Amino acid sequence: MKNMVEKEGFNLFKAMAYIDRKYLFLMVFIITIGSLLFPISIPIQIGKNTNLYYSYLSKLKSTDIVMWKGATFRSYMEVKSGYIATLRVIIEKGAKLVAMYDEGDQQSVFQMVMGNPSTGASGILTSLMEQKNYKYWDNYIDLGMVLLGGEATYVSLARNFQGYIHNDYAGRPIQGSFLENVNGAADFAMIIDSGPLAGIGGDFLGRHFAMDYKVVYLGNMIGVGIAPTQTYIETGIVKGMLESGRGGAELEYLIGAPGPGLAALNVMTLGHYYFIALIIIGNIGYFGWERKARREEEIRAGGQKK
Amino acid sequence: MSSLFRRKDIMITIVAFCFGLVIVPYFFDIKELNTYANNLSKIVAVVTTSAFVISLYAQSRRNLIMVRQRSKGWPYQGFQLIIVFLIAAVGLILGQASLPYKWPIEAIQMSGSTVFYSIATFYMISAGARAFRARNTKALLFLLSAVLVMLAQAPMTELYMSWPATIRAFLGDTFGKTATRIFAIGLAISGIVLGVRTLLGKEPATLGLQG
Repeated sequence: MKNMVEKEGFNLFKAMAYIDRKYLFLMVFIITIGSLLFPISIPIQIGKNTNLYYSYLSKLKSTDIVMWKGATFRSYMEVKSGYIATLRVIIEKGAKLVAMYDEGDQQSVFQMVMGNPSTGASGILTSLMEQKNYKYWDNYIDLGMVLLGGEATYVSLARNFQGYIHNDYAGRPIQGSFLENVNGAADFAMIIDSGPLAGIGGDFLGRHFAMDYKVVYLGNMIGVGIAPTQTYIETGIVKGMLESGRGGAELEYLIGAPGPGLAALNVMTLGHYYFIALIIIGNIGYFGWERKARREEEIRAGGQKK
Repeated sequence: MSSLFRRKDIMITIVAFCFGLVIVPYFFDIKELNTYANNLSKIVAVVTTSAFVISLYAQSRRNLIMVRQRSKGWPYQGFQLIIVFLIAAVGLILGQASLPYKWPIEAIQMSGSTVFYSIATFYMISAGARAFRARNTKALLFLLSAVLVMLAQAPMTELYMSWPATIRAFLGDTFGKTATRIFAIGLAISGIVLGVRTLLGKEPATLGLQG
């Protein structure tokens, strides 16, 4: 390869094959900051899965109890818009909410949005909650990390809720709350799972809640969870899904509450196009220079061996 | 007495009994049986959750050995050990809802986890420009599929071109779903096979016996 470089000097194909990383990364910043500073109005088309998701969500009543399986910080980065928009709908409908988790940081994400009832810290939706008089204990309860223990835990929750759950995350007994009358899966109107639904939790909730008790099961999915969840939708186990940040933006549009999803549409579009452009440029460089250089080197090395 | 419960036939009988206790209520609604099955599920859930103590012991032992031997990266292992027990102690003394318990999660884990996820962007960008090469037909097909799916996934595309969405739907409905279903069906069949083999006594490791 050295010979070729010395022979040719500057080579456009070589430059395309080996773009300096600092320029690649600089473009990421330019796209992100540029999209935020100079937003373009992008019309949005609502996908089929978002429509399905919204059709079930919009039917919630104030007497309904929703099971909320939280997202980790990692997945929250992707599902943030759908996470906030969904909770917004639940609060506006006045439906009861029960949050539970299988990873430690899921509770912090939930409290970042809904506020922390123990410390009184505000969350992203605190003003809406105050406006709608949506309160901890009366309207929503945080059970903490009760989804540990694998499949047996989900079976216990679905069939023996009162036998398995005795208090909320802070140790306050659930007697006297709206959870007092919850005996099992049949008492839940809906399950909303944020994050990778096709993971272990998705299967367990699907088997023991959606299949056994026909509980409406919705997913707010990160990118890699979209394709696996589609198979669950076709079998009727999952009723609707938000497809990553884009799905969240679509939901924000449907409920008329612009948020982080719609704000990120420009970055999402330009980010995708940038990535595609890099693959194309890199491959032009590969066929124009890199492959030839490799072949030349192989021939030379082969000749030396002989 | 303990030797009795170590006998293979006794263990298989217990497994078969528990299996029947859990599986029968799925098909027959017998109140008393339901109560026993629910209690058994609860016991299993609690035991499984409590198993974290074993992992904590194994991890702590490993870290201690590394610190004692001054192996490569031992300060990190020591730091991890201190943090784990410090947070556990704070949680036990002040409670899980307390601010000192929540602080490391919200101030350190949250930002660290977010950064960790975000830097994937830079790896992806670098890989897109320098590693994703159509070196053979398989790689070419993979890259074409990736480009078309991403093109369809970009929110603006659908407004001007409908064909990328059609191709994305085709790829997802055929190859994507097939792979997912194969994986799911494979898992289910493996589970059934393992269960049957355990009941037949052909999986001694599952029962904690030597093979």
